[in-house]
Amino acid sequence: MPVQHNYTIKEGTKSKLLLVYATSAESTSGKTGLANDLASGSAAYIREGDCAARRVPIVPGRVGEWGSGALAEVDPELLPGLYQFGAPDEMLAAGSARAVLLIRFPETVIKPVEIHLVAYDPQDAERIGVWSLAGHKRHEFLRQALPRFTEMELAMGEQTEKELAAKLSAKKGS
Amino acid sequence: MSYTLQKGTRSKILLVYALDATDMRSGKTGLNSRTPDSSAAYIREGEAIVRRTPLVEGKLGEHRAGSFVEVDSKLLSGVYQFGVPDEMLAAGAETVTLILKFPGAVLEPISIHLVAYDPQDSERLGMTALGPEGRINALRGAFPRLTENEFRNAG
Repeated sequence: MPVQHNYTIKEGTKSKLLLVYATSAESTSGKTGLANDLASGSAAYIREGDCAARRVPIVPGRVGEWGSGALAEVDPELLPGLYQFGAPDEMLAAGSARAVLLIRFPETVIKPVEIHLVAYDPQDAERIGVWSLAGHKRHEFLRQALPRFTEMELAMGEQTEKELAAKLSAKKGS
Repeated sequence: MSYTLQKGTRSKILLVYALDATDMRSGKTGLNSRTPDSSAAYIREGEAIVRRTPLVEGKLGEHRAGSFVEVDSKLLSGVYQFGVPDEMLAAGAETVTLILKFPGAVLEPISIHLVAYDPQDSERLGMTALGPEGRINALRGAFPRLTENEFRNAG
């Protein structure tokens, strides 16, 4: 049973590991052993708006470790058919909204990996990477929205500064 | 099968579908946690260890880690409930893939995207910046002296 691989990733993400599922072309079972013959496989991707596909050389990988184009079989007994692939950083760089990666091996079905490259950050618990919710941006907005409050704030700042300067000069004098 | 869940979600129940491997059309009924040669295992992105989850009995609508329960063999043949171990969804990884294996059945691997926001929070998507504390901090940060005055007067 070929499985869809859909990801939503912040553009510019680096050292991303993808988990992909391979099945035998003739049956529904997970296909094992692909990492033993990397030379027979190929990988390539296209980013939306690009005029040419880019080939990714497949190299041996280790589970849990990233390497560009590194392919590692996860566990042929417990998770047969599951592989880890190191996504090249250039594939996820800013400048495109979508990338499609194909990993191919003879007599094997691996569904395309579709990656939506987004500006927000699904891994940011504070504000999912929404820039306008950053502290200093909100301060800027509030100060523009409430100009008299801002004037009062600035005036209080000036007053505090004067008081501080007076204290310092008094200390020097004593 | 793909899910998007907040990291740290607990007591999560998944509904999975088992196809009968003999015809690849009908739902496979009669599977349970004691089915010989069955297994459940998962890997979290970036980790080198595959974790096996022992399959156990359970009750429909109730969470128990590793529980595997047939929903209704007549009305929903092939649909099962699986109790996800909390550790599988803990913070520290962005994706996790779970595979349930049963002889004579085909179950699609389950891919889970672990995110920081809360897709189930209609108020603020779990973003702390939009919570009361985040908003108060923004206001106070914009007018620190007025805030100080406010506290002084209140005291």
